[in-house]
Amino acid sequence: MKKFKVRKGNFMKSKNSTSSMMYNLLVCLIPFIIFATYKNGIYPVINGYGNLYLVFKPLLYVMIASFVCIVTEYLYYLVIKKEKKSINYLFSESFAIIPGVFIGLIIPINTPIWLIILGSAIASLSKLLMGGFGKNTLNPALVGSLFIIVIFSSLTGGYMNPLEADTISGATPLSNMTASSYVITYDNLVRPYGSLLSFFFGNIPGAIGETSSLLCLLSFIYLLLNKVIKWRIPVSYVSTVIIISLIMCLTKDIGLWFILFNVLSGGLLFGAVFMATDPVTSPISHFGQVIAGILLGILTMVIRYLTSFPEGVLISILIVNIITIAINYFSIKLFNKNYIKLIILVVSVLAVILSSFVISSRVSNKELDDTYKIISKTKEGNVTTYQVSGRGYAGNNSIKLEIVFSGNNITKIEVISSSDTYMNMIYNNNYLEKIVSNQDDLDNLDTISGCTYTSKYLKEIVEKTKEDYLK
Amino acid sequence: MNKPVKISSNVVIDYTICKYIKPEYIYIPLENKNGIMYKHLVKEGDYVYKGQVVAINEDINFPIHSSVSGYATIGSNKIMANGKKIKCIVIENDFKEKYEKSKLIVKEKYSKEEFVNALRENGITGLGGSDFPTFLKYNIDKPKYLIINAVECEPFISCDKAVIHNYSDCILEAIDMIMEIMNIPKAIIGVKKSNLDSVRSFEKYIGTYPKIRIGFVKDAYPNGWERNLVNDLLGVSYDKYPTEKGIIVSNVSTIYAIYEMFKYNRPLTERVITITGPGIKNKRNVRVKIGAMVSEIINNLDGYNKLKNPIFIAGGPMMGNSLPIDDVIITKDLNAVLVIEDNFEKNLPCIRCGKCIEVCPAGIYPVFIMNSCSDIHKLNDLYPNKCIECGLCSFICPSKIEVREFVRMAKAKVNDK
Repeated sequence: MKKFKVRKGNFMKSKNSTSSMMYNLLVCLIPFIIFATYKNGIYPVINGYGNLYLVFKPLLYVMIASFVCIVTEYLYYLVIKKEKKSINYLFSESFAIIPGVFIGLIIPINTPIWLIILGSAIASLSKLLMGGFGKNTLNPALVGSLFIIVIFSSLTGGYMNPLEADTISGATPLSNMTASSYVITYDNLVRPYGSLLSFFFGNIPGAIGETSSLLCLLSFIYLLLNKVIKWRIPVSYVSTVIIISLIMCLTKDIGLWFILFNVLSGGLLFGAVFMATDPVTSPISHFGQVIAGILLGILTMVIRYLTSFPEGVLISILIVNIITIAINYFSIKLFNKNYIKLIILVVSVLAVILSSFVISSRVSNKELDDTYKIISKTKEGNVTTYQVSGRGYAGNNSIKLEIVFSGNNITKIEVISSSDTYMNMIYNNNYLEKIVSNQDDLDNLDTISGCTYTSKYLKEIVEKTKEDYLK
Repeated sequence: MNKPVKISSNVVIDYTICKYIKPEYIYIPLENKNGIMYKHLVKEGDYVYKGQVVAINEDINFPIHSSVSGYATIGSNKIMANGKKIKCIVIENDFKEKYEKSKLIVKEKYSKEEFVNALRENGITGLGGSDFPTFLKYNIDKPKYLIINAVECEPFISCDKAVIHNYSDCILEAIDMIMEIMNIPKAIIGVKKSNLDSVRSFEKYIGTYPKIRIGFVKDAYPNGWERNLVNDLLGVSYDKYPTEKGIIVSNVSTIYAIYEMFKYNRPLTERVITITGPGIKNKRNVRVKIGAMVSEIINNLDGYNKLKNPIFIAGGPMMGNSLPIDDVIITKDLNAVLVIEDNFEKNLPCIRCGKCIEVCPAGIYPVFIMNSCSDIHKLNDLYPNKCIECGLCSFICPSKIEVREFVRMAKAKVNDK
């Protein structure tokens, strides 16, 4: 007779483990860091913008964010829970590093370092306060990065590396679209960034590491083959976006490139593949995953087109994180009730169609009607003073000018009010004086790089006033 | 239906069957693993013949026989494969293998009623592990299909494969006889695609039997589960038992037991079990007496290898139970004994990845059941009693949580209510 130890459970375990899942994710993120280094560092430096520091900036951001996350978690356990956790625990049991790496990749390139530290600490704390790894409702990386982006949104140009800031006007493709009042034309949305291919490869302004759709697709395939992610979420998410944009295309007579524009911009694929599929914060049942994907698609498009936020991906994922509690609850209630599931599916597809009609009412495929308006016109002898308003970067009638004519010439241009954020650059470049001095040859006056649209609109307003004056 | 999971073991075992049929004592537990009580029919000090009924399940008149001859005593408590200590009838073997005289007449022809009755009288149960009396299955009108379960999907276990390797001709003959008696038009032998040895063994003789064919199932776990097998082979799903749709499913070892009943008219007293695992020196399929002690057989197979952290499992690695000692009674439903290194890993919190939902062959939500174990109302919505305890949820869990134990708990709770 021989004695043995007794244990409950089954005695064969699969090879997949939580740590292999998490580190597979990290492996997928390495190409993104490399690409970010190329796009935000090497490429501008080669072209003579910025110094060597720029090359290491993306990597530095990722490292700072991860380091802060690890330290925060260590201190949290040490100070609040009075437990000393080993490094091994932090790396292989609570995966403190993951939110940090994600934060490093989804924040703007010009974020100040103190903000990264603050954001990462908040991310880590949000996870810990909800109960630690496995119990958090909200994706910590999203909490941290949204915190950073919301604070940082006041500082413009944040998404662009110095090269882009100098050559591409406007901002990210989506904020460019919001700024141009949802005029959907290829020239307006895609041309400033080259072609859709640069959207695909990721050569567009955007957060540090999320722009490359190609890398997102490759990682999706890798993660799918390794059975790491819940593939139903990204698939239904992206298909919902495709369907909504298709309906927009059909109702508003927009070219089919618009579908690709919607999918490839705004870090949608990065969000769909990495953020929305976070196992802890996404729905568990298959049906719930499909519904979450559809919700994400609708929310993203609604936020993009119906609110003043240009980028909708991160916010909608955070919203769906909260809804996930309800989705999981109903997954339990609806177990085995396939007909109700079918009804819900039909309703959500109807919601997709309905929302796409609502969204498409917001956009147009033509340049805006002329919003140029003469507010007042006073004549005192030889001097005529116009007060005019016109379209600016921030929307219709966002620029108000006072233009003074004497004789046949403009003598003075003054900005009465403007909500344009780029107006500082106009002042810094003495652009108003340049317009005055080049008034006979405005067509050949170059726009200022970095605020092309604002300078273009200014020129337009001045030209129109001049026409009126000369009549 | 969810996709089954491929699980493989790398322990090689050969299919020749060695015999160990001379145990010193035989233990006959008075309760089976499903909790059915048996009434003992022998008194202390009685002489018991081989094949004599020593206990009976009075509800369905189902007997248990002695597998040796000798003097009986009553009362020793021994561990069964499910870990319970049960009161047993103990028979001291006198190695004479004496039969009662009336048992030695071999019948040539059976009618259907006689056949069903013979199955009952000879105590034939499902040898696949269910311990379900076989005669109940065969007692149906107009069966359409006979499916022979030769899938044996759990890793490590190979007793069915060994039986096929050695007795494929006998099995086919028995199938043919059953089909004739029961008037079943078709029979399908379900075999794993990768199990070439069994396919070859059957193919040697199957040409003689035009009504029997081999059906292949994917090499995955748990494809040997009745419901999966019937669905894979015939595309039929059923509510509770396959007999509803006129389908009889029998394990191939059971068929071989029926063959021996036909041939020798003797009750089921022996079976083949697999004794394997890295902790066993001589890994073999052994033909043993039902009621013998596992420890005695392992000692006769050169004993144990030294392992760091050995664990003794009655049954397969997925569905078996870990037991504290190796003094375990071999019952009709015990198909394997494993001694392996305990691979217990520290478990992490559930990350809600949903992999257990993806693999669950019963189509239930193990993770939700686990998380709402305390909430009986939620549990009622989740049907934990559909669980077949295959253990795939525990197998696949990346956080190494023993999900099945929670589902078992929930199952017990729902059943209690």
